[in-house]
Amino acid sequence: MDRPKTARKQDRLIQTHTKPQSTLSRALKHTGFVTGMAIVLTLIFCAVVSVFWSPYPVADIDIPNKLASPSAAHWLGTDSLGRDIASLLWVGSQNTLLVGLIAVGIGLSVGVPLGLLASAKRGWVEEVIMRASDFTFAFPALLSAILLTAIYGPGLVISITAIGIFNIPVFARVTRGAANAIWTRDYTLAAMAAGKSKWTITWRHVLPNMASVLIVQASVQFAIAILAEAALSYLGLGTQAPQPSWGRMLNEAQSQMFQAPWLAVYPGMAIATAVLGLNLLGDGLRDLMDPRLARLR
Amino acid sequence: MTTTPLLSIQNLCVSLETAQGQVEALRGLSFDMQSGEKMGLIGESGCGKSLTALAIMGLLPMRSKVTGSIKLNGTELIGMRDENMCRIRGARMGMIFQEPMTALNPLQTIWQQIAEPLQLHQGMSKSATQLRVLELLERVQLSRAKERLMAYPHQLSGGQRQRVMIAMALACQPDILIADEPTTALDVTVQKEVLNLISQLVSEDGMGLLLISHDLGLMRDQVDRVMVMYGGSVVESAPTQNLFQHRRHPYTQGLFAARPQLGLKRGTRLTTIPGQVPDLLNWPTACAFADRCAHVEAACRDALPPLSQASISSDLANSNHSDTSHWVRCIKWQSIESQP
Amino acid sequence: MMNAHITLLEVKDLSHVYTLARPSWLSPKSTLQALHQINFKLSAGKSLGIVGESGSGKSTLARLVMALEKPTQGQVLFNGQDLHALPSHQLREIRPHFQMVFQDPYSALDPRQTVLEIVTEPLYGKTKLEMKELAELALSEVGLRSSDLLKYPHEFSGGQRQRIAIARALITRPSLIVADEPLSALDVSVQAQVLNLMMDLQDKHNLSYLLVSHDLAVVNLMCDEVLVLQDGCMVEYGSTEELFKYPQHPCTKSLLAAIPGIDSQAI
Repeated sequence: MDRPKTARKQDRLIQTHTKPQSTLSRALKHTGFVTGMAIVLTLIFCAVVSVFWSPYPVADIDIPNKLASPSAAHWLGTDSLGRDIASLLWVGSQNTLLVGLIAVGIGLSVGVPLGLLASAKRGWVEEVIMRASDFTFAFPALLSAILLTAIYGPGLVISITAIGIFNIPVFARVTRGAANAIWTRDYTLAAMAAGKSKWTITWRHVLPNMASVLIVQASVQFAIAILAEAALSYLGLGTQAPQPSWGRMLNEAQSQMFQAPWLAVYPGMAIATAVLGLNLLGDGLRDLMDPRLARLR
Repeated sequence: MTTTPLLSIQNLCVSLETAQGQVEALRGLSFDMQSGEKMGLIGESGCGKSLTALAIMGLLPMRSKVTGSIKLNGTELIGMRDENMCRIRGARMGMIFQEPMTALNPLQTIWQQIAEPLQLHQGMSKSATQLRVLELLERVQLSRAKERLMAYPHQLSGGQRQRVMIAMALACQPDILIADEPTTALDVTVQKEVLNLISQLVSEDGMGLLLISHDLGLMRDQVDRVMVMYGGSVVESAPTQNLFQHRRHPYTQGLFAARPQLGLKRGTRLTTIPGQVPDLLNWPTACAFADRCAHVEAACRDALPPLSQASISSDLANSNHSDTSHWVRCIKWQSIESQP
Repeated sequence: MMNAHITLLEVKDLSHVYTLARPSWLSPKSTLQALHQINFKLSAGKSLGIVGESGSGKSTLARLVMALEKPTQGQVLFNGQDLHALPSHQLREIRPHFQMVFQDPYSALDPRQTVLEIVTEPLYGKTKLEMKELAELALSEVGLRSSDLLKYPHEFSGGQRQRIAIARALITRPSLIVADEPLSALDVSVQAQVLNLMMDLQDKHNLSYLLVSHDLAVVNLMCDEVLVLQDGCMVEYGSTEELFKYPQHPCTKSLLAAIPGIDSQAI
């Protein structure tokens, strides 16, 4: 055992001798972050506005106009039932956002406390929680979701629940890892010496110092949730008709591949863009929140 | 007869790019090192001593500007292409870092790490490498070397890891060894062993040694010549004996006075240097120590004082032609009483 | 005022064993004896230095004295009370009387808290105004300004951060401060400033220090008595002057001999 390590000299040199720019100005210069943020904000905008208005009501079936190519009336054309594709995408964004929010919400609200508990208690509590996480991880998420829908029937709620359950071990693990690192810092010992209980320390010291890790992980999991929902809907197990869903649009497009290829392109691109935007946002947030990188830019 | 110095640094200036613009971290560093000479670079955080080592090795951060000249055996290193620099690093220059745990790859065995420079620079075969690695480990007095070949860094203690680093640095028999605070992270008793080992190996191989540290006591035991750095430049430079007997620069005097020593009585207050090291961004352009100096006058803030020669040694029998003069960067050095 | 012969801290037969992680589920648990039968007394207003190499158990001892860990055996008596036998709410009530300063000033302060929040953490049952006043007082004692209260740790240098840590330790007016290598992460000139500060504070507030250090010169300046540890065992214990002049145990002798530049120093 050697003397405990002090902060690396290079970091200290950088820390004490160079001042950071303000987070906002750095954020605005980070192309990835800006692009990601723009895409995500657009998604949110679409989802919110679509609750009140869409170009065409999505329930409107217009058989005579089915499989129309893009035109002035229908900017992206129509599908096999004459529904306006643009409207379907517009309203479908609601689902996308909803699934992401709730699934990540489940992961955060259950996974994070479990991770914090594991880290604070250590010993057999940690073992049990981590092994339970491993156990959940061992099941391929999508197959398990399919299993659940086979038992309980397909639908939005079931698919959200399934995806949410698989977020729990992800957040539990990430939380525990980050929390463990923070517990080795002397300021948690100082708080103990000041008489604070482990719960107080977890709330006041551990959680704030790992917030950045959670935010980045949440944006990544959001993207994964979107993909998962799209996959489930494509298989017919997620959102059921008549609620529009990007994944189900892909399924419907499959049979029309040669007559109307654009039917697959639009929902595919929507999904890809949403996922890209979230990934860029997550990377950007991680870069911005890492203090070491902050000073070197 | 003048011989080409092993290492010759002339007017080395390094500026780093920060969010606030360019910042001068090293201001006009110049010194020569002869073959077989042991030199020490001493200073506190922010004085630029580690940057000097990195500049010599060509390992400065990407966004930095280097001007001046660094010559190794007559070859100019500044501006050299990276591929050529790679051939020199490890082969002609060895470096030992402060934290052996972070300097060693935790995923590779000891053998693999020491073999790397050998295979890279000398193109040795696997069997020849193994023999040579074993030789090196025995030379650095690593106990149970044969068993430890396949060990990972985390299985060794700090002192042992540092020995492995020394073995890596010496693998290709470089001309110069740069040791950046090699023992700061080690125990006192282990420190002594490791430093003696470095000294011994350096003498045996006739290498030059540049030892960087913040510890004055260490310098006394290990090097022939000490350079004191403050504010990005050398403020005093002298043979070790001379420096420990007569200190002329106010900063060096302050540094010596601030050390707790065994002989002092319980409760003695140490003489401290008032103030603190100025921020890199706000370094005074003239004498960097002016704001904290008891002898400061108006002229000190005009320009960076030049190095004045405080004494010339008449040691003509000095076989390795090393500089034995005492240099001080202070315009008032003659009026300041040198402290014993 | 304080009677110098009051025993502030007494450690009796203190031992501590760590259980190490098992390499596999089937292999037996392995243990590490970190401390074995440590005994010493510290009087009010006096200082004790704990020296030894890495792995000798110095930091473990500091943590056991601070009741941050429970020892496997033995007692830590503070003002006569066994810290580890007290129920947690009682322990919390006497914690203000003994505080700690840590080695790494970069890790000892929560980067997300302001200096005000950091320094007032050990305070209980005080109004916001009272806390602010006490914080200002504590900062002025360590040579910092009240304008520093709203700043964050990253705006300070290592020496200044250590001062903030000392202010935090002082704010409850403790009688004992356990300092675990408080100077080793600092530069020489900054060390001297903080060392002087610690000695000034000791005189002013009649503090006792339990100083863990590998630097014997610092221990010589600050401590009345020294305890030498080797592999968790006490090998020598006595007055600083005596011990450093006439070391008996080989461990002490090698520690003294290993001080760089030792040959030139007058003892």
